Amino acid sequence: MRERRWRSALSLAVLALVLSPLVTDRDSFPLSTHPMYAHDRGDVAVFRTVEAVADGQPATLSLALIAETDDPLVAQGRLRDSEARGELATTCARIATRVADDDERFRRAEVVEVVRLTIELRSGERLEREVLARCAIG
Amino acid sequence: MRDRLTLTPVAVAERLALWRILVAGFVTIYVAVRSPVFLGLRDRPPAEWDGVGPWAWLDRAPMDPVLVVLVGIVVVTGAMVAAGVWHRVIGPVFGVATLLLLAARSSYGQILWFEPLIALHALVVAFAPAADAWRLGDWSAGDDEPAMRYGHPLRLAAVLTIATYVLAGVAKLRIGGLEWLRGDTLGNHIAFSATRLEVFGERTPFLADAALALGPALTVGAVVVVAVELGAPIALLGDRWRTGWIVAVLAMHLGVAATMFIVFPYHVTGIALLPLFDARPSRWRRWPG
Repeated sequence: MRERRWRSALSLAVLALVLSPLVTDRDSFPLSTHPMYAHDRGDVAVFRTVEAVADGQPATLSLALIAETDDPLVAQGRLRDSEARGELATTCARIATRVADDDERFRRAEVVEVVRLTIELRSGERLEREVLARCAIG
Repeated sequence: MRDRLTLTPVAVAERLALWRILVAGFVTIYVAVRSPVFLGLRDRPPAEWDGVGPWAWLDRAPMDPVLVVLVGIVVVTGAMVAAGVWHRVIGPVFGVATLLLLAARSSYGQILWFEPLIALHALVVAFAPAADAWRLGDWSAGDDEPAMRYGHPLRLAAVLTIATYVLAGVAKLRIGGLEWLRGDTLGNHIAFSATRLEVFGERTPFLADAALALGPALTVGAVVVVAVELGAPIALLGDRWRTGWIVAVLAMHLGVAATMFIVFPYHVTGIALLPLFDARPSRWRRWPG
């Protein structure tokens, strides 16, 4: 009986801790409010990506060429970090080398551009394209 | 009614042992496969560090070797916990290291919503007598007598799973208000995920366009999501309630995957939901009941 009581008390204490963000409204780890998909991201969003330009026409590079990953979150994070550290020129050059070495599809491309795109989410319309870094391929 | 409630706090050793193997196995594989991401945190700008949870006391990012050591400890001890080796000593090391590693990732602002539950479940496994059966060198079922020491950890784990869904449902209504139920925010997230993939030249989720074309009908989806999350405690009633809720929540996760390409691996593999199944030995013998 005593064992049951203290085990139940322990479980209740842990449960109270996990539910405490309901009262504190404080998001932490692992005590989280779990606000997944709760916030609206707005009608317009900003993304960083990398494009190869041939005859003035930009074409998006693959995640593998941009950041050697298959995860868009990782690629987005690496470009953001690179921009924050002021290292976009180096990142751009590294990507250009990968394009020159590995990809048949972009053989005609002359330059690689790291860009910041402002996009209207519902329509997919590109409202703004700002070049953050540009480097030659090969 | 009490007898019908699932999660009776007694279970045989092998039931907890099975869950130990699944949780520790999952964490080991997850961290090993994603180790480049965890190790890549060392390259993040120090200014992005904002310590959360067990790191809240630290106003600067830990030194690089700390992350390397944590990844190593989680992978090695995770494998040992799955195997049931020296559980009383290795278990707590595994649980605390898992918490520290996943919290470190969140401290850099990269939040994955399924990770808090993984950390909590790893801690439950870590401090429970989860290796009294099915361990390396002794693959027996352990003590045949159902006991509270095996049932309580499973009951706690089940309630933690339920709590995280309730928290998610409350957050939607607290942040978005009843407006969230209109479906616009849900549509906004679907559009955001699809656009993010599109700017990287990736294929967009195959049901994203169809979902967005629903327009106002997305309201139904939003209402169902909140109902499933806030209604999670009905799973504790057991039997058909539990099964029905689990089917609904898996359908919800599959819907998220099909419209946003966002997968909650710990949940869709069923590991997060397994403790919900009846802990009574009579049911265990007919598991999954």
